[in-house]
Amino acid sequence: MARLHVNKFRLSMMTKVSCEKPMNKVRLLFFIVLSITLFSSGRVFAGAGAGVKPILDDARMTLSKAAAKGFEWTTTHKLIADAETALAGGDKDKSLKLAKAALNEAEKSLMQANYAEAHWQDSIPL
Amino acid sequence: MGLVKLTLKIKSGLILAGLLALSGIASADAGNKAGLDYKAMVQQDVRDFQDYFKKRFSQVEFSEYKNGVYAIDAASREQWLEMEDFPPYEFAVDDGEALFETPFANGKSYADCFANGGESIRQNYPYFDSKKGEVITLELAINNCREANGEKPLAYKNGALAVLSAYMASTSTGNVFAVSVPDEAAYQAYSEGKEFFYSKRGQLNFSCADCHMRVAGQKLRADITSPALGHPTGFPVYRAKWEEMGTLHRRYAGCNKNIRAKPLPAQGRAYRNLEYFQSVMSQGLEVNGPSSRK
Repeated sequence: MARLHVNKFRLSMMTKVSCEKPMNKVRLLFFIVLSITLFSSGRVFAGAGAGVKPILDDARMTLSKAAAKGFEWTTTHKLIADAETALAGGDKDKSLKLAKAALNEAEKSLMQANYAEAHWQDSIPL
Repeated sequence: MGLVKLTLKIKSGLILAGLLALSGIASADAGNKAGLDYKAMVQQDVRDFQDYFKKRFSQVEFSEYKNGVYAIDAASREQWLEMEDFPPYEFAVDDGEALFETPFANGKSYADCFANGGESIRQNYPYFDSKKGEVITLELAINNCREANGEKPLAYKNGALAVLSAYMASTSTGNVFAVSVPDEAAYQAYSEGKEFFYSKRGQLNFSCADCHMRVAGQKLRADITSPALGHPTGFPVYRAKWEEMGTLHRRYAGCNKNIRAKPLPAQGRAYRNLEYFQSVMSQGLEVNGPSSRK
């Protein structure tokens, strides 16, 4: 099974090898399965829009964690809403950019909440 | 042998005395978790907090902190004193009195819900209700009174509730704030308020203490920030920016927005605990609400 662990380098090497020697059935089957998997997941040749939804889901989930701690920023929810609008309007690049910004803010607000929980006493100016 | 027996008796006596002393200490601390003296801890906090401002603004009389930024900024104070010649909250007090005296549908009134008929009691709020396990502010108590008498609660940030609160505060002018932290559960609420006060939040990463302790008296954009000491004493206030009366929790929400932190619900647990902490820190100052602010 270890031999079936493939990366780009090994793929190219194996392709070269296959030109010289006939590929055995196991390897051929592996390439077929790998190709189907990669294409069906849409992660190889998919456009920018396909990656937006998981990022937005992550942003929403992270933001809800920060909000539960009382540390939501006023700007993050709007970024998510704008990303959704852009996605619905077909502007995938803008949507991806906004979604990434939203996730970045959500992560920072959660980080801020966790930091405050542990270190708020450091901010006492006495 | 006699000497050995005497030595043993002395030793056992000392051990017994030690055990008795320890049990005495233990029983004295029975009400406090791990022997913590909450009242003493809070009083230390109050001393440290008030001393910070006394050192920072050594020329300002302690009693002046009830006037917010007007205690430390002469130019703003001058304008404010002129405004106080015709106080913009005067009508609100009249409206609040009228509402206060209007009976509920069941024939009872606000006066039936409060000690001393609701007069001269502002200095006792907020307090920690040990049975409910939460901080009760004056505004929450007003709405609790309404609901107990079959009336709908009022909105917490402005309007009728603000003018009712203004009237009740006006009957308490000059009384000294007497908010205490009586037990462990109260200390927990107080500590949550304290944590909120010192925690940096929002996109600008500011805490209440950053603006109202560290840079109090300095300019943030066009405004001079007020000292945190005495913050609750003048509320509710007529604020020129609002062009109407507003409650302390409305102001908290505005502060949070300024630092791009999403405001929390007015009269929610977090803001009530914050008000509790701030009121404890302001003990010794007089009630001077309602008042006016820029």
